[in-house]
Amino acid sequence: MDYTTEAILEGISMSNNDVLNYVYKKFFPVIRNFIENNNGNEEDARDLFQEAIIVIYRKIKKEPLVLSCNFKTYIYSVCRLLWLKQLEKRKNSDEISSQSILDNRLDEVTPIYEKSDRYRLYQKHFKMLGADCQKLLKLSLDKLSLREIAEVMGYKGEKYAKKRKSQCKQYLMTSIKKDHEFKNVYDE
Amino acid sequence: MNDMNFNRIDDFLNDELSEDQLKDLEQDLLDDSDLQMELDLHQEVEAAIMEEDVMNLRSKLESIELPPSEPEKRKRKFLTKWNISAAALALFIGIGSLMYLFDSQPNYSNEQLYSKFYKPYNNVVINTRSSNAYIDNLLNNALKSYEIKDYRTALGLFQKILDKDSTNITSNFYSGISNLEINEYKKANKNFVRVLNHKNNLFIEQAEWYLGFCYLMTNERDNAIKQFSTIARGNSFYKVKAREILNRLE
Repeated sequence: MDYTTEAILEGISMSNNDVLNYVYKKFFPVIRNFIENNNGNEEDARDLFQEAIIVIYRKIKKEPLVLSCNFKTYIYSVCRLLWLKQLEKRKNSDEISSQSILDNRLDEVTPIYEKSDRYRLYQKHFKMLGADCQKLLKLSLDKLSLREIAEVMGYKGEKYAKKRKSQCKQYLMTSIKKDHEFKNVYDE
Repeated sequence: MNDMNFNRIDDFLNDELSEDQLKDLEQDLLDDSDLQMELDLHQEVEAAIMEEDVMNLRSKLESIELPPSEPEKRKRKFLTKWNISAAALALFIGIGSLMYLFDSQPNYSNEQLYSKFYKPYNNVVINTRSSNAYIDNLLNNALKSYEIKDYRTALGLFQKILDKDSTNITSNFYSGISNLEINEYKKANKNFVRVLNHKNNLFIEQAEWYLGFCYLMTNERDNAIKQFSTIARGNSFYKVKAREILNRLE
């Protein structure tokens, strides 16, 4: 079964499994070829394709996305742009990085990608925390009081909840800053 | 970033500063661009943590199986062109020996799985400071050696800490990885079990994951399956990878 461009965009906005699987099956091979022909490997292609879908998801969330081309052309352009940015970061391809991007449809993709790239790093480290730290930080961001947090988490009191929260957050911030990617994504 | 500023930022974000403290912070933010940057970073990290939808989407995307590449496809096409009856005959003749092979030999050896999935933990973070400057200094030096992959020196330094305090979690965890790196799997196992027994620390998921590799490399396949199953069933950062390992183990 084939999906129309509109149906694909809607499916991505709803994280629909069938649509996501279809998008990978139908469009990933082209992107993999492109990446493998331009100094990358399959793992790069996988990461990049994933980021492209997340960028598109963020874009749809921000405002309705109406494409004047088909989805294949669009995702190819997004992936191409993201890969050029990656190569610029790696500084190993003057030839490609000097090519200019002339596609107006992609003007807004760059800031979304840069934010998405930073968030990806933060979320990666958040997911690497233990389950209790993740839960504790989420409860705190949901504005629960320390007393409520202590209750939910089964801690002996507010003081311990505060100490534990501070430990978890400090660990998260330190591990983000220690990541070798941090400087690259934060200086963008 | 010192602890005081860290706590001020945290309290600010939680609306827990008094009016005077708030004024002081606002003034300091104007004078100190590093402090402002730190506050921006904290705000951004908090916003990222709240993006549950994006994190869920990313997990879904990570678990999608990639379509095969061209050479693999060609190989598959070639296989479909085989004469069916010849293939069936070959299958019939070979079935006995194939069954024997499948029964007696798993698809992936423990070593193959280890080399495919194991990577040393490269996130070096000193999260807590002890009240003992000597221990802190040792730990710093040990982690520096660990970071440059000088695992034997690191182990010597971690051991000095563990001699004084065998429950030191950071030393136990990084000793475990260092022991894996020098093929001392049983010692690594002990390190990770100590981390897990402690229960209240930030290395539990990591220790569970690496303990699975210890079992693989000491040929305790049943324990390895049990270990990776626990991870795959839970909510661990490593659950997708644990599932991939289980698919190859079972």
